[in-house]
Amino acid sequence: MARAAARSGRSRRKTSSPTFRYTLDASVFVNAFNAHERGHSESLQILATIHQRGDPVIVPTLLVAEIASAVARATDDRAGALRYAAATAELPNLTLVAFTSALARGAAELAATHRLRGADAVYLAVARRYATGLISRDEEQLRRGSRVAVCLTPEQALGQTR
Amino acid sequence: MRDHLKDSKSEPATQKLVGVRELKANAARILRRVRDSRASYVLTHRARAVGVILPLEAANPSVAHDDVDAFVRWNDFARAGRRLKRRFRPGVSGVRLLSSMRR
Repeated sequence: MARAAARSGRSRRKTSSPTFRYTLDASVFVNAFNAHERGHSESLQILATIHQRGDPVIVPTLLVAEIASAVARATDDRAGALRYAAATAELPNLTLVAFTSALARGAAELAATHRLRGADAVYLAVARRYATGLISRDEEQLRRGSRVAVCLTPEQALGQTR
Repeated sequence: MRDHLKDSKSEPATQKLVGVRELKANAARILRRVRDSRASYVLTHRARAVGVILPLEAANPSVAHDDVDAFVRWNDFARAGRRLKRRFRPGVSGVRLLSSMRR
C-alpha cells in the first residue's frame, strides 16, 4: 500500500476533508525508505498522504542536513543521501523556514524550559510558531515535545487524516 | 519548496511584524503581498506575537502546470528514496542514528 502510495505522484486534494499543517521531523524521512526498520511503510504512507492531500508542510532548514547525515551514515551512500535530501527539499507543499535569530531565541527558550535537545527544540519552535502538528519517529522528541506542541507518530497522523 | 530567504526580494529575511492597527489599515495591501510575493507576517497585539499570516499556496486549487510540477517533484523524491532502499544496511536503524546524533 505504501509502495502504491509512493508511486502515485499526482496531487489529489480531497476538497471535503479538513486541511492540516505539519512539521515533519527528519526521522520520518530517514525511516520511510528503510525496509529494515520498523514503521517504514507508515512513514512513507503519511508522506504520500500529505502530498496527495496537499497539506502544507513547514520545516526548519536543519531538516535537509539531518536527512543527508543520517541517511549517509545508515547507507554509506554519500551521493544517494545527498540526492534524497535535495529531493526532499524540493517536495511540493514543503516550506523551509530559515533559522533566524528570532527562531533561535525561541528554540533556546524551549530547550532550556523543557530540557530539549537542540535539534528537537528547533523543530518544536517551528511547530509552535506556525501552529503545526509535529510528526516524528524520534521517541525522545515525541515525549518531551508533547509539552510544547501537538506531537504525532506517523500512525497517529494517518489516523487523523482518515 | 518555498524558502523564505530566497523568495522575497522585497521582504526582509525574517518575518515582518504587523500590529492589529496596521493590519486593519492595510489589510488589502498585506493580503496582496501574501498572495503575490508570498510574504509572511507575525501578527502582534500589544507588542506580543499572537499569530502568523502565511501564504498557503498549497491549499489553493492548483493550476495544471503546478500539478505537473508537483507530480515531477514527488516522483523525484520517491525515486531517490527507492534507490536508497537496497543501500540501507540490515540492523542499522537510521532513526536511532539520527537520535544519537542529536545527543
